Amino acid sequence: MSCLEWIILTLINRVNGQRTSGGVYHLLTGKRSAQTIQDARLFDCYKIAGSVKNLSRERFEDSVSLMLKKGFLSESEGNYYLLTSKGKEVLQTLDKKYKLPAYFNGGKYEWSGLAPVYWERFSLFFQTLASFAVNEKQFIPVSYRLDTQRWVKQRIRELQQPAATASEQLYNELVEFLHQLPEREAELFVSRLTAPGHTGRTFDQLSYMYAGDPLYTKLFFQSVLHLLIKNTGENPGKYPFLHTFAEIKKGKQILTASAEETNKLLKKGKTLEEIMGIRGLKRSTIEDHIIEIAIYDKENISNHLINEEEASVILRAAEETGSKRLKQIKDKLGGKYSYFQIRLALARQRER
Amino acid sequence: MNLEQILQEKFGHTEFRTGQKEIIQSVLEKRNVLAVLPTGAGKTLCYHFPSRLIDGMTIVVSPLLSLMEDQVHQLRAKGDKNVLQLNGMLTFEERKHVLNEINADTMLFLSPEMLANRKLLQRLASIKNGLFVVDEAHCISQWGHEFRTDYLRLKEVIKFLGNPSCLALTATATNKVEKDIIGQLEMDDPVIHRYSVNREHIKFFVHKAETKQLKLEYLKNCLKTLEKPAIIYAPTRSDTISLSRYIESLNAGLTAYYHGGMSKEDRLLVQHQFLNNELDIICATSAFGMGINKPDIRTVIHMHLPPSAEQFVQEAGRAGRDEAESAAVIIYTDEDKYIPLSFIDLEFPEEQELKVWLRTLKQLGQNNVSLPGDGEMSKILQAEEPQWKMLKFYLEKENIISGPVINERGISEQLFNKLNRQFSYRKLEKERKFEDMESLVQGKTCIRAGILRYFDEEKEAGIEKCCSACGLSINDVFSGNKNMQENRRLPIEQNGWKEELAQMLIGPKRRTIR
Repeated sequence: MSCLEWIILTLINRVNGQRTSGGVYHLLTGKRSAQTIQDARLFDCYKIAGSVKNLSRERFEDSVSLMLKKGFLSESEGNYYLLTSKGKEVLQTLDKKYKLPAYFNGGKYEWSGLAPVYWERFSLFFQTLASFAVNEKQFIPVSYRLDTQRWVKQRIRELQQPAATASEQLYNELVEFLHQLPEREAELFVSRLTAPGHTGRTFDQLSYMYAGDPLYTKLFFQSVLHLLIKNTGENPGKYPFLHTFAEIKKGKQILTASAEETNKLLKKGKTLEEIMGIRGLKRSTIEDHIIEIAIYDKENISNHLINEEEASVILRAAEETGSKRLKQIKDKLGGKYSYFQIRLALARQRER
Repeated sequence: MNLEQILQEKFGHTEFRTGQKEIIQSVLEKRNVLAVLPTGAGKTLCYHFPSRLIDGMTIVVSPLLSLMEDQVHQLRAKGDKNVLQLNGMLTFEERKHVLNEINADTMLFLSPEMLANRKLLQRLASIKNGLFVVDEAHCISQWGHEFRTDYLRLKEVIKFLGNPSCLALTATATNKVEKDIIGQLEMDDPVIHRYSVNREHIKFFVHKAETKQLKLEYLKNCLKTLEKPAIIYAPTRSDTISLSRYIESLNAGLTAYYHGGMSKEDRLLVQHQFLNNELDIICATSAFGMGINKPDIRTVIHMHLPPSAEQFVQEAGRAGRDEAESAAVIIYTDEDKYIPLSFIDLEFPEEQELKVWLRTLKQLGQNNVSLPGDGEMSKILQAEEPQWKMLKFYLEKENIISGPVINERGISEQLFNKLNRQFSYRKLEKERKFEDMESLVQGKTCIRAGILRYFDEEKEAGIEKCCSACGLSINDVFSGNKNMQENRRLPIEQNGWKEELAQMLIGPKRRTIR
């Protein structure tokens, strides 16, 4: 069984039949919708969420139906899946084979797209300095994205020191960072980099390092990247080069663009109804935005939408039903609270 | 104007290759030009060169996204920053950026579906247009091996842009296709430059094996003699993977696989490795090779029968751009014909399918629904997107669809019969193309002569012992002694990551740091 099966089983197990397979798929690929973002918190899978962003729906469905056939899964009702006892055994075995790498945080770095952006910029910057070091002014870039190329070019132009000094500086920063890692992870990271005569290796080519599984290898690489972003962000003085690759226009990395608009209006003190009018959007859309904002920015949601007392009543009910399906929670509360209020309360709940 | 001098100064080449100068001269004389140049003959220079001299922007329409990207980035890497591209893969902001940047000195690559965008065309028309290049021009012809409906817009577009002179380029055109290109583009008084598809230094070898296993055996023996770098083409994605594993097990050279389902980053890395001689052999689907500008590929092997002679000639032609001895090998079994035939089957709708599609469209029309986008519409019909686009093209021709309006009253039994006939006809054409390919390799006659005949070239190959059918064997040409210039990235464990990092970033000269 491959790492992908392990991830799928893990998520289906966490969701435990309370979302359709579509909901599970969105968690795997990190769909940027309020519902999925909320689910990641609810089902305590924030870290593993968004770990297989490029997974196609077909590939996912194939894998699910294969596991259904093998008797690892059972279908509780249309498109809701549960692990069978056999499936639980398999998962236990797989848990010994695969572990989410130490610093991997999909919800934080993959979902937002921050890690891929960081890597694109960094690897192109690296390739550029490395080419300068051997006096190659012409090279085919590792990234074809024009905005990445522009960003790196700008960065090179702004260098305060000669290229050779910059290379040394970057080298020292990388060594400083990589030293704290297990040897294997440092090797993996360096093997992905491209310099003249040293083209980066694909995950397939590097999979011998991690159980022969390209996806598992990729997770370790991403984990290193997540730690890199975290460390350099916490200590920019120590990493004058490395911390800059994470720069993104403020606020942009987390909220969807439309939710950001709503957020601005909320900050100006507009009510939900006013925002509907100003933006010409449906109530449900604005509600989705507010949920999304609440997940990231609890303080910003004012008390008139939901107060502490109401929130705790809802959370208690949720706990008592032991369910995360909104309908059951709503029924338990005798219909006194709207779906929106229940979702909001769940969203504001602390990360477990 | 001394073209050679410009070639030297601006492009760093000392001489033109066959055909290039003649084509460039005609383009500079503002003539409409159709050029049929064999694969690997340097088509890009035929428009890149004039684009630097003529007054006005050069637009290049190219159907293959990955090819376009490779071309654009290779040209930009060589320092030509006024080369830009517009295609569906760019984000909204990127597109805006490109549209702001274009000017009369730009060489702009466009994917054909962009031409349906009115606003974009208006922006293009606001700039002086000097040259309009149609790359892979055979795509405009239904007789070609890759018909693209988007290409039929081209003649309107050229008019809209104020009739800049037009250069149509292709590597593979029979006489029929050649006439069709000129007609469809309404090229006025065109100059035709046609060069032979024959590439004498490429030797053809065909081997029919009885079983799949024997095919691999034969490949194993081939690889002992044939030179590298090599491309091995396989029909499906999973075949490329298993083939690369097999070659790994033979220790026949460093290998990797390549197919369209890989992530873009990994595809670029594999491509880089191959260009850089860090790999000996690449196992790939036909997705690989379009934009690869590697002159020293020695061997191209097909582990199946390509769907058409055109495709075979293009893929085999990636060998030996440097005009040194090279090999094109086909290893096949009788069963191999089912894959291309089933691909053809999938491309066209069954009668019943077509009926359902038309019924669905009629319903949409009756409910006054305006036509959804292509992606959406293919979902509604449960069709592949190219299938829907093909249907849409015919429906537009029949005035059933005009813009977003569905003229449902035109959808009738008669229409169904007509479309069904057309599809069956196109399907038959494709099947015939495959049969032509099959007979190229099955006959006892010279393969090269067969290819030349297929492309309506009169002259015979004129070389003795030019292919396996003429009695040439791989050992006659290659000895297996010559090894490629290796340029290996050592396993990282060898020197450790720190040393590797120092070598990459600081260079071999100054390795004394820390």
